[in-house]
Amino acid sequence: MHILCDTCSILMLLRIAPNMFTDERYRCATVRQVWEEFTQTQKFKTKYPWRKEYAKHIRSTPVNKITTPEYDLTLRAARLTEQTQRNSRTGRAFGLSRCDIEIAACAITLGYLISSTDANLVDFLKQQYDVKNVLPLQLVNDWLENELLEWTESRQGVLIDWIACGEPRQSRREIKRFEKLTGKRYPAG
Amino acid sequence: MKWAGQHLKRLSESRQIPISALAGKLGVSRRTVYDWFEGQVPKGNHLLDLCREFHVEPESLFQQIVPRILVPSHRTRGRARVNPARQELAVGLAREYEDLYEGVRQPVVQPVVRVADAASVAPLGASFREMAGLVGSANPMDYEHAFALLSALGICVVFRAFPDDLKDYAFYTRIADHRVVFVNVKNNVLDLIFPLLHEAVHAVRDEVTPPPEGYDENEERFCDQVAGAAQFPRQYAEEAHASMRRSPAAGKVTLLKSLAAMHHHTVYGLVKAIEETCGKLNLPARSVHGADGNLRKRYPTLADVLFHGADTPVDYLARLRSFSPILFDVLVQNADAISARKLAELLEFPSMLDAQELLNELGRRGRGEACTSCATPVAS
Repeated sequence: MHILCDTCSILMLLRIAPNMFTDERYRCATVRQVWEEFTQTQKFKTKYPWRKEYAKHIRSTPVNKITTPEYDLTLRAARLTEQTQRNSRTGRAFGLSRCDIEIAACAITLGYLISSTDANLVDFLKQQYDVKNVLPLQLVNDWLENELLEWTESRQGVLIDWIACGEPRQSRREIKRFEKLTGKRYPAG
Repeated sequence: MKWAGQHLKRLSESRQIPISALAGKLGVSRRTVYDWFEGQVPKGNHLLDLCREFHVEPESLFQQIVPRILVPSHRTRGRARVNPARQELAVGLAREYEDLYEGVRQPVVQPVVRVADAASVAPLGASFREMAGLVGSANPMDYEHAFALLSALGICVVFRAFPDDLKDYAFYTRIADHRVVFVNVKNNVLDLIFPLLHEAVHAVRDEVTPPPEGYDENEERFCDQVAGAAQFPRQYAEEAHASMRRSPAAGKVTLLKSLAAMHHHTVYGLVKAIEETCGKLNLPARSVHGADGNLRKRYPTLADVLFHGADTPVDYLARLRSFSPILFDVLVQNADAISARKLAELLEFPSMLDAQELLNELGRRGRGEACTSCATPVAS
């Protein structure tokens, strides 16, 4: 099944597997809104100075594949769901932006999984649409397991950068799996 | 919008689809379908299935609810009188914030002014000045005083870049019983002082319904008068007038401009205050506006004040908190219930990444943890 990658996920993964969008075996996809956020966010220039060099590797799903009548129906229904349902984890509204709901509608319409570290977007898709979230480290482990990439010192350096940049913590289970697959220590935070 | 279970019930009856058949098609129990009829909102994927099954638009299964937002019709801006289109734009902006205030405690201080006559203008103006921290001072209010006053009045200030068609500097609204003033961050801070004070008067007048004619001229005049009295104390206007009389005709506007630069207000505002107190000045409008145009170049926009040089979430939050402590508190209380992109939209934040860092920082404040650049815990 394909995985729709959100900006935060791409920022963590793109240097590990620059061909994640161009090699079909990775089964990764993204959308225009995410590409725009990746390329246009001013602050990324300083926090992710490599961004410009890697932007060319991102391929977003063609608009005409997404903007179908089914997408339109899904988007409108998702807006209503977001307005009227509560996040069962927080007991509050989901608090999603317009862009979040568009990304959610894309994942639902295309039948993709999601890879995001935004807790509210992940909750919304899981609770309301049974769409599973795949954490970045889980994706890395899957790629390693399927022998899509080899673990190198430079890739280990990217993981060290995750910690330095304050990226969200990965699950203990995936950390153990990573250490077993690579024989390397997961960098300590 | 609100889920309308009865709409679904009527629909399934009119299409003669038994509950058991509907439940079977959607893969849910009959009890679940009954629950939908009785008001339980279907899960997102079930709502989609219902739309597909009945070939209906999703909106047709919901009903409009009475908005909990009130945006009274407010002052004119030049010839740009308030009209329904502008009202709708203001309501649209306010609606984006509705969820933010849900379940959030209101500030304790909620003063109300019931009498709006000529005799109330000076005392109310004086009391505003005291609340803004200008006790015993004859200086005019600057924009920082105006923001301090709004906080003291329990008003939540929201910073937004207004759509151009709104043609407004600031507007007061109520969202779920909270008093909120929206401020246009595109404006120069010099131009915001008077509108902020004007909207503060609307807030303490505690308007709960829009005026029947859509615009109440007496109310607007009262708000203007109190705002004027609060910004420019009588003594300041009289002293400025006395200085003007001693200066040559050609130098009068220059004199007013130097006072305006010294005390951070517009020349136009001071001219109005002097005319209210001491009579007509008959200064050429072009000179006054020209002087203000030059003056504005020395002052930032509100967006500059909030964002320029605020390189970290901690810097930005410190600024946000100083100008709108109530909004800061509302955001802290919402830190776990809002997405980073939504936060970026609500704060007009220039980048999503900043918003994620900001959200993390707000979460830390909410949990009473130390901020990222402080050694000690910061309570919200």
